[in-house]
Amino acid sequence: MKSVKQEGKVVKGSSQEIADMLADEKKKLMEPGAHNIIIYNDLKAFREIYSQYSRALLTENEIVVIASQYDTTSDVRNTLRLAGVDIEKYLNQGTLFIIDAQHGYQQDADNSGIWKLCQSLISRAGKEDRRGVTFIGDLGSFFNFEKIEELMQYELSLPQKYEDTLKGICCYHSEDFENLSETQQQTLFDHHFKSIWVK
Amino acid sequence: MSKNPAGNNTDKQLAKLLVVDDDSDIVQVLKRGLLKNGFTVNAFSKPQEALQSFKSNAESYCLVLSDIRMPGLSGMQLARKVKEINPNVKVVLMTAFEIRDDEFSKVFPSTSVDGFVQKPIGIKDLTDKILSLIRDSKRRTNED
Repeated sequence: MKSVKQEGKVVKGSSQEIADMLADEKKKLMEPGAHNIIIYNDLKAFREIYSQYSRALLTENEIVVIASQYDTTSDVRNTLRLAGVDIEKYLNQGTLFIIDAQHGYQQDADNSGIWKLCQSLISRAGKEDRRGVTFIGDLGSFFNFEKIEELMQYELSLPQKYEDTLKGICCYHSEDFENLSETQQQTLFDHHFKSIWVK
Repeated sequence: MSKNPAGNNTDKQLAKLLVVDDDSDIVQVLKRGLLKNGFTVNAFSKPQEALQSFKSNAESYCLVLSDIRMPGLSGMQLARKVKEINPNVKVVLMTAFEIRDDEFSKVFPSTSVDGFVQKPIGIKDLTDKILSLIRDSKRRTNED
């Protein structure tokens, strides 16, 4: 962990280091209610992070939602299997949701589809005595469709800190994120609880 | 090169393709397969570099084959940019996801794409599709 740098809200590390930190509750990187942002530099790093973090969460009775933009849902399933996740078990018991981020974010005019899903799952988590809900979502579709203003409106409409049963990570490929102006980038950093950079 | 029942070797030899996919493994497989089938191919895993190559040699490319979902510059954005530079170039977009035509027409209404391909696709089927578009383009040029 020596190469991991944490200065205030900013955390930088390799994909393995970040994955380990996310899964380690003592590190408080993903404390209850956290609404964080991750900037990843390649898909392999992103896969390592979401697969290892999800594996840890699912074994802790958490509901996990993965919304991937550049991997198909089949790819995500395979990645999770390779990480040792019994995906059939969690899919069947309804604690794992794998969705196409583009469809999730862009099917509604106000981009609220995924948010509504998370809200309904929070309610379910309470009824089923689950620990909570963690959402890992890639915002790349906003760039694919050139909806930058909508992206900013959507992100800023979400609270900086959620209620305690929800944790969320807004994920950006660095090549998408770099298409934002410096002001927009800083606005997003300021708005999220912690900013995580994958080296 | 063995005779290809799919068609005329001259068409392929004259056909320069630009292939783009952010997955470098897929790019290499496509490049190898299309080269083996007689095409001239430039392949990139970074769409911005592909666009630069196109800008430098716009008239020499007859077809662009690109993945749709790529970080930094999507296939649809690339299609729009190459068509602005050379309206005669054919563009075929590939995706492993479900193809929803209405998604693109709403956001990119003025960008025409000449074909969509669902991944995975065999090289033979891809070659046939590319050749049919090249021949169609040649036929229209001869008619004009």
